[in-house]
Amino acid sequence: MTVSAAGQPDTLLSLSGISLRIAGLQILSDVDLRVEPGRIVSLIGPNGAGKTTAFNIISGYMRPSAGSVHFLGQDITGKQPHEIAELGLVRSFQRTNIFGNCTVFENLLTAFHMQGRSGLLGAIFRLPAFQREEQALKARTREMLGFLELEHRADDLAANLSYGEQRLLGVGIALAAQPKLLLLDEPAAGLNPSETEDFKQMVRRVADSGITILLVEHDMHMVMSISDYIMVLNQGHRIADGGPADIQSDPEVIRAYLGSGLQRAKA
Amino acid sequence: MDQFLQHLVNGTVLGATYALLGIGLTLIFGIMKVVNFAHGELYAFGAYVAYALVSLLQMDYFVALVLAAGLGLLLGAAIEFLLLRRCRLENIDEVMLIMIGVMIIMQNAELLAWGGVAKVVPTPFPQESIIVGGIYLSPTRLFVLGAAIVLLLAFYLVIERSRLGLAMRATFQDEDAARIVGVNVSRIYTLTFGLGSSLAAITGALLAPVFVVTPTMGDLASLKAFAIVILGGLGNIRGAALGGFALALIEEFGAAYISTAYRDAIGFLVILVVMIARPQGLFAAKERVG
Amino acid sequence: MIMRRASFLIIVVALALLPVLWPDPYLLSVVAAAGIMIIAAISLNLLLGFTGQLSLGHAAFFGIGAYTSALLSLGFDVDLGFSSPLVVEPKPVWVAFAGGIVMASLFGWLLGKVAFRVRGAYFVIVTISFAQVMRMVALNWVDLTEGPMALVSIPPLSLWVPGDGVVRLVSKAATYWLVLAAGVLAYVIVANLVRSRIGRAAIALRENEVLAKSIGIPVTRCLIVFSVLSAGIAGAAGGLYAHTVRIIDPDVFLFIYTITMVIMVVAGGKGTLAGPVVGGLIFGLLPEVLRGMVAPEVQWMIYGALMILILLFMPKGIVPAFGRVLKRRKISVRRRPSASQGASS
Repeated sequence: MTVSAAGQPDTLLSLSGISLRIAGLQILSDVDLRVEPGRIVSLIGPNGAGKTTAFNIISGYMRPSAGSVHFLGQDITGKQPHEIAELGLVRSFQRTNIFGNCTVFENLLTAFHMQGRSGLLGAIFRLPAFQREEQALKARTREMLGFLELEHRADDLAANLSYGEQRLLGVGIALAAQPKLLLLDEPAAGLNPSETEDFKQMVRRVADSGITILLVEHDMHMVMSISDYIMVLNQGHRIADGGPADIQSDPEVIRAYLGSGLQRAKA
Repeated sequence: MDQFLQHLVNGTVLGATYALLGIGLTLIFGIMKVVNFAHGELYAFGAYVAYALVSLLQMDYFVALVLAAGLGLLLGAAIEFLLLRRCRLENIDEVMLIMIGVMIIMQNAELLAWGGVAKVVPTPFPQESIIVGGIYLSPTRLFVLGAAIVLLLAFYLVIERSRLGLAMRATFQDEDAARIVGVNVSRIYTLTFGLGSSLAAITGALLAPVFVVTPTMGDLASLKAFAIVILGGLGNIRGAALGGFALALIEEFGAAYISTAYRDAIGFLVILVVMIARPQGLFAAKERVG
Repeated sequence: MIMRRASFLIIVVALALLPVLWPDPYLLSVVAAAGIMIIAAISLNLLLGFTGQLSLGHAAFFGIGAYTSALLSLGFDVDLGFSSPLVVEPKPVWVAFAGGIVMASLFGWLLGKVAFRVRGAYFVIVTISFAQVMRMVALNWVDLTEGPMALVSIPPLSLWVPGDGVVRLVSKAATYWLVLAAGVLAYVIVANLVRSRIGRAAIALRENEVLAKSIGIPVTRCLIVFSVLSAGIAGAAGGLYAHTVRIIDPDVFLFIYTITMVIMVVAGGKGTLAGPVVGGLIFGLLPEVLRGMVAPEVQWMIYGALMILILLFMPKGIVPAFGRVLKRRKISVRRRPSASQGASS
């Protein structure tokens, strides 16, 4: 998980010239983005700006019509989601973010998939190496439960958790996959203010543990207070990027947000 | 050459009935998304209705055809109303297994009622074939072809042009929206399933004098109907009609020039090949992404 | 964990003692026949229950295992065309049996490669088509399979027993023990498999395929592994069938056998370890109970009706339904305090 200082690339993730057309609609046009290691980067924009689509392209769930995605200097455009996850680029989801019919413990244990090596024979014959690995994975699962403060929910079905707890578990699942870069898709959507505050603290703790974060979020308060760098998308175009202070005073950003705000007020 | 034309004619006659079977299943499987393994049983049901009315009760064959269609409609509507209504939103596997249960019950009920021996339904047409340019045409088969084509056209018009067809398409595209504009969604479900079943039943009744009637005739019919729908592309009425003709011709020529023994295997090989090469079906436009 | 192992051992020992306590040959043969179907149902549960893929071609693997094992033990010669005859001398029965498992697994891999490109209804239809094609081959490739005339005089499996030397497993009790041993083996393999990293991966993709991919689970590879294992176990069940019944015909490929396996799994509880065993016992023994009372057609109609009723009113199956009752009672007695203990037990 740690990258040696010498070998640390100055760009973890870069998108260059990403465009996507679907059925004649231009969803993304020529989007560039660089994410440097150790930072919290946010992707914001009005509804329909193409943020989630950008996430889907980065994580391999969609293929861009043009452009390329590089992660750790490697071209990952068009790779399968699980291959991208193996490289250390892991995402969370807005909605389908847990395994509902499994317990919280099982959810996290499953999420440590890539941290295991055991194969079929080990599993079928319960070889010592397999047993040691299972114990180790279970220990890490308990650790993760502690980090998420979900110990008391370990044996409950994930589907029975509260909404806030489910979001937490969703992030825990992504974290268990040991990301170098974590993509969070609107993690605070639907949370109340105090839950949002807790969530923000957790994102900070994750970042402090050395994981780079790319965030899509609507809660401007949260975005402005934790981001190191922000990119603004509007209708598939990048309209601004920079630190929180620059973004807040950018006239084009204000126009885009006001515009959509006005539209919403009219509707 | 005569041989070839003869096979072409036979394939076309068979194709018209396959098309009917396929369109019925397209309504149920392609549009309603019910994986209906009982479809072939409704086909067998239609054939047995024809047998019971014509052979046993000495009724007129044409009256029997109409009654078979009507009873098929009722039976299909009853199945939907009693079994599927309560699990419409449940997962697709459950619905599929329920329909397999229906299939088992219907097939064994037929076996119980009529026994395993094949039954013959007399044709109202002359037995002698008409010979045109060296090709043998049996009047019964010609009638089947004509009736099937009339039904295909009528059906196409109902789905594409009538208010009922509009309500159907609306329902299966966006149920909530259809409900808001005043469509009785539950009734549409029942009616659609009934119509699809009715088509299967009348196909069975039409073919009863051509082939023989057996309790297991539904097995292959179900699977072939799926092959046809898959060939045509899911939910595509025109595709299903074309798929019916395509499968019948492939079978006919495959049996003639490759192997009679594997005639029925050809349909399944076609499914396997289509699934590998072109999962959206042969006659469907390339599916849009997103 | 210890409790569960103990109760498992008690059940196995009790089952093993059945021929001693109740040496009724009819009973033993009925239970052995049900046992073979239970093994097949256990293998189907691996796919249907744990990966969530409804395969309706499962009888094909059973049939491939049965035919391969029978043909290898009998020997055969066929002309593969271009005047290249393939002559196979009779092989020792256990070698043939292993051959059946390998062949079924190979077809499991092949079908997995093809069928897992599609999901849902399409997957189901591909698997059905596969089984139908296999049945037509068994019916029509008479040089190899004897077609509808059936393969007869298939040798039984044999075992070297200290003191007695090589014993042919033909008695009802021996057959029963053979099937029981195979069944316990299949159960343990599946149990160990699903409680492992790869088993959890399969359950994850059943629960949420999109999320499973995001945590690095290679979905297609995982499905193919399960398809191979499932086919292999079904092939073993087929081999057992061939060498205990000792006559097979193309009917082993019939759709109705797949359906029987599906009913067993669904009624017992798909995705539970005990489900196929419980469902298999009920639907394996029910025909014998009903035999004297009703016509076979009525028996099948009862099957169909039971399946519909279970799906409508107990869609998760018998085992989870009873499990819930038991759990409720347990919780009311004592709330379990430790999180990790509960999850790892």
